Amino acid sequence: MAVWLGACGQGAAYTFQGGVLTPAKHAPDVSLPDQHGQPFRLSAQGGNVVMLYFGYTNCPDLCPTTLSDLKGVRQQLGQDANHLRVVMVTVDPARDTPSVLGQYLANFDPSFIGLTPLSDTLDALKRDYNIQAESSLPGGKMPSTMAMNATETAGANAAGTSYAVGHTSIVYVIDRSGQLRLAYPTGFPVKAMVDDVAYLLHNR
Amino acid sequence: MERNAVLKVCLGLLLAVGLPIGGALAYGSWLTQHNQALKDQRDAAHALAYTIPLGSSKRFRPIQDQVIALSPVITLTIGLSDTLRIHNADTAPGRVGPFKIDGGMTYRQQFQLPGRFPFVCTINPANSVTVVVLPKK
Repeated sequence: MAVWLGACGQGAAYTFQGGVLTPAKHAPDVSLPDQHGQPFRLSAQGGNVVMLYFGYTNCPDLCPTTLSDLKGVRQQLGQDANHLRVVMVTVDPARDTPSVLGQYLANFDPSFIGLTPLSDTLDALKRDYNIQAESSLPGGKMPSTMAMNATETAGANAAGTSYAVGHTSIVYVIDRSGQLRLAYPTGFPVKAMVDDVAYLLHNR
Repeated sequence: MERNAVLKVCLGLLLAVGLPIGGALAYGSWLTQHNQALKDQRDAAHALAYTIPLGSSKRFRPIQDQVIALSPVITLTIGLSDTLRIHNADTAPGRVGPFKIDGGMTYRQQFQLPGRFPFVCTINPANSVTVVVLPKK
């Protein structure tokens, strides 16, 4: 009886520590090839929780910090990590080719999924997820993939690649049924993220 | 006589088993509600709540109209007032922080670490808002 009563007590509503939007809504879909050329579709991840991040490989601070934290989340989740997908969409597709992104992510965790969108797709994703990303180039414009390739072909890539990207640094959490449930700013405590994700993995 | 005895035994069993189970169920339900009430109280006490008023999206155009639903700088303090809650009472969606908040939706964010957090905020004429989180006093 005591055990049963204890279980009742645990039935109290869980309070998420990340940013919550209520009522929850469906996550905008993300459908792109990953760093290995395999198709990735967010809406086809049923059964897994997805942590989605927008960043770039030349980022000096926010992205490495965030990816290290996400690696920590996977480690602390233990076996539950088998049902967690960590996905990074680059906001700098001109430099972050699938190969570059793949090598970068492997330094943190080889299970991380890297997606390199074309400019139009990236613009749509930025609108969908409320992401801002501006380069340090005049006007804040991002070099397009085609323009960058042309520049590199011309052997003038040094000038073309020397820029930083100011970007929103937020980790989104999509639950097992595809609902956009949580958001964490960079630097959010790993333990808090682990608790939230573990709850989503074990509760519908 | 035997029937009465059987009825008494059944009644006794019913009371012996039913009462504890009923009590446990009632206690569990009360405990759940009590814990939720405590969390709600904590949330209310620690939250800075903003409501995007009805018609805000129209009043911000043109941008010179200085109707501001959200202060461009919001200051919170860990452990004292560390939660931001934004409810959109407008019919048009607003983009605040990580989310597009449709009409009727509420965004709640608890901050656990001090720092400066710049957010997109389309319901502010400056198109942005900065949350400054101060350390625990």
